[in-house]
Amino acid sequence: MNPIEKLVLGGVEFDSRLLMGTGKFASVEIMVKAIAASGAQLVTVALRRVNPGRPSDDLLGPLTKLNVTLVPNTSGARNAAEAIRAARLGRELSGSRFVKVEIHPNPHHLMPDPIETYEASKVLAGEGFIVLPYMPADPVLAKRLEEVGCAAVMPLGSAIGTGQGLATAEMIRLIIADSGVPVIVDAGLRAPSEAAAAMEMGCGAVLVNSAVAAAGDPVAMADAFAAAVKAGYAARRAGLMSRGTHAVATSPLTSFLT
Amino acid sequence: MNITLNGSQHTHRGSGALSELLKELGVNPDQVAIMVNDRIVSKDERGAVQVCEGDRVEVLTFKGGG
Repeated sequence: MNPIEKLVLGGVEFDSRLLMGTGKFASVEIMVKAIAASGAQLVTVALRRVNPGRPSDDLLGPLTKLNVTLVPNTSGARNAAEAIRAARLGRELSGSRFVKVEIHPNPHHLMPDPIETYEASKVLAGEGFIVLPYMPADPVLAKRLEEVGCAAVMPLGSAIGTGQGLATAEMIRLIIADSGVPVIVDAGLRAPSEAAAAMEMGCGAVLVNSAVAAAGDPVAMADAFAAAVKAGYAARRAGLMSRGTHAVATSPLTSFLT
Repeated sequence: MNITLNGSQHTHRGSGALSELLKELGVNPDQVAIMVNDRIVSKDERGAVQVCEGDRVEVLTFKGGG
């Protein structure tokens, strides 16, 4: 059995292989409990304008108490220049070198723009950010993003928030086969079994948000995802049996009742 | 003075010091990032930056996101 290894991103080690988003939760209180239940050490946040005179839910305070590493995302950016600016602002506020580059200009499908994602990731990696790019499940782009210094690649399982699972499974297998950095499935997962399947395939980690936030009981679902990611990783380490085309008996076939 | 704050017109009634503007907006200075005329103002620089008539100011904070 292969030894347990830590998830290493940009030289920083993590025990947990489940990353959590903070969107769509009914309240900050539920979000905090769900993150705690997930055991996630990396947590994504978005940057938005404050509403003057309207005190909003403070995320920074509760997340700081959870002792997690913040990963500001660049959502809302429509191109590389906007994403770079969002990343710098996120670093200013979080003090974290981590950034999730996320550029999806079309609100209909929210597919990441590969060209702008590549350009922004290149600049930000050059500035010393630990860049985690949300990307289409494209093995060629994944390699290019690795080459410009991304600490991981984050192909989508399916479109953000759809819960359609690992629709891109075969492309993700190709990405894993060639990747020199951890592959983190980001977006589209619905069920813990899908997270387990991603880990069994050899993903380094999984990022979920809607699957937990929109669950009937987000805290219990976070716990279920944590267990699934651990099970999938353990199965990967154990080594799955090879797939066959013919039945192979597990019991002796010798007749003895006649 | 009149400034553009987060994309909307805003009349600032103080001296233009960022600390006064944040107080006027009722936001915690530790929970926001600031940009003046597309330039990021770091926490260290805040004391030295003065907002002027017509400036475009962005005050941003973290919200939930995936």
